[in-house]
Amino acid sequence: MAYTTQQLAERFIDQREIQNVMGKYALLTMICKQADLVDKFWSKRAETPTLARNDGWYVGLEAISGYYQAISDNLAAKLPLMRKLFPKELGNKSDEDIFGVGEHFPRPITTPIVEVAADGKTAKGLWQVMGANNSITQFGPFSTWSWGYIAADFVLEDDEWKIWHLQEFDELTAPVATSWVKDNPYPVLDAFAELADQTLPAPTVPARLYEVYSPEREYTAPPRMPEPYETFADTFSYGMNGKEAI
Amino acid sequence: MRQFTEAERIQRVWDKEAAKTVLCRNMYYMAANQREEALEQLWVKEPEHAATASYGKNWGYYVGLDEIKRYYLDGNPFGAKGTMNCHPVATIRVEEAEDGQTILCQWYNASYETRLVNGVLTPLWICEKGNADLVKEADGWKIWHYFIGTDLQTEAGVNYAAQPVDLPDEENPMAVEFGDPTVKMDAYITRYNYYPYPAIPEPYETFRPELGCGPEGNPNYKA
Repeated sequence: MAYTTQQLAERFIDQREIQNVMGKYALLTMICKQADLVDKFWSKRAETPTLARNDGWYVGLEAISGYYQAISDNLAAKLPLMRKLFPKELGNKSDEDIFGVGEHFPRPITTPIVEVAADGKTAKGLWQVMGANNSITQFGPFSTWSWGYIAADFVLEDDEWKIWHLQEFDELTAPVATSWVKDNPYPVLDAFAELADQTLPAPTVPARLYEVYSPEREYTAPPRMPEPYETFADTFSYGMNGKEAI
Repeated sequence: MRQFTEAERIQRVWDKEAAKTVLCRNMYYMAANQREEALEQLWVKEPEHAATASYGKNWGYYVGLDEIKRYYLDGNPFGAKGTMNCHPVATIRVEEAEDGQTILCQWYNASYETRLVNGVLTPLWICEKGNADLVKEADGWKIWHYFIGTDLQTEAGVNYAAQPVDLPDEENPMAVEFGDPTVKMDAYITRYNYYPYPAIPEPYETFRPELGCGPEGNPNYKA
C-alpha cells in the first residue's frame, strides 16, 4: 500500500496514540485504578467487546467491567485488615486515602508491534509485559513476577483509539528471588489467611486460552503477531476466535 | 548532516519504525520457537548480503546464512516441555544512514529463559546488549548483522555473587550453546563491566564495516 506524505504522518500519529493508550492502561493498572479502565479505554460502540484472560473470555462491557470492579473490590476489602495491622499509620485515614495501600502492580510494556489498517479504522497491537505484583496476600506482603503478553484490537471512535478486544495473558507468575521451576516455598500466614478467599468472577466463556508456565507445560507460543492489513475483515481477531470453551 | 525534504523526513521516520518492528518480530519468533520463520522472514536474502550476514555472541560469529542456520536451527535448545524464552526489546536506539540504505540498531534486554542444562530444567536471568545492522532489500528492512553481548546470566533464585567472576565457558550455558562459531574470538568481554563494542549508534552517512556489529567491526577482529 502506497501512502502520501500526509497519510504517512497521520498513520505515525495513530501508531503513537495506540501506544499511548496501552501505556496509560498499563499505568492505571499499576496504581490500582482498575475500576476506571472500561470508562477510559474501552469502545462503547464496537460489536462484542471481549477481555481474554488465561482461563476464558469476558464478553461484553458489563462482564468486562465486572471483572475489573471485582479487582477493585478485593483491594477495598483488604483495608480493614491493613488498618488492624497498622493502626498507627492507617487508623485515622479514610478508605479513599489508603485505597491500594501495600499494593503495586508495575506493568512495563515492551517489544511493541502496532499495525494500523490501511483504511485507518482499526488497529492491532502486541506487547510483552515485564511486570510484578507486589501485594498483600495470604502469604503476607508478597512479590511475584508477572510476565506475559498483551494483544489488542483497537477501533477509532470519535477520533480516539479505543480497545475493542484485549487479550491479557500471564506467561509466568512466581515469587521474586525464587526458582520458577520449583513450587512456591512460602506458607500461608494466619494473620493474612482470610485473603485466600478472595476471588474474581468466572469468565463468561471459560476456555483454556493460555497456560501459565510450569515445568510440565508444553512449549507455548505468545499470541499471534499483527500483520499489515487493509481492513479488519481481512485479518484475524483478538476477540473470541473459536478456541474451544470448557 | 544533509537536509531532507518533508517527504524524506517522514519516510525516514517510518524506516526507523519498520526497523524496530523487525527486531520486535524477531523476539516473538524466538519466544514462539519459530526460528526457521524468523530467518526466512526477517533476515537478508540477497546473495551479497547473505554471504556476509553474521550472528555474533561473546565467543565469536557465525558468518553467512548457512553457518547461521547451523547454529540457530541445528543447535536450538528450546522446544521441550518446560522450556521457554523471552528476550524483550527495550531501551532501543536506531540511526538510519543518510543514504537510506542501512540502519544501525541497539537495545537492551533483561531476559528470562528456562532451558535444559545438563538435562535439568534451569531458569535463567540474562542481561544482554543487543545490536543489529539492518539493510534495505527489495521486500523491506532485513537483519544483516546481529550481535548479542551477554553481560550476565544467572540462575533464578541463586545469588549472582556466588557465581565465579570468570565463569569457565564449559560451565556457562550460554557459551556451551553457542558451540563452534565460524569466527571464534573474544568478541564481547564482561570482565571489566561495560564493553564499548558494539558502539551506541550515531548519525552516519553510509555503512562501513567498522560501524556495524559484524566481525569486521569488532576491535579484536584479525582478518
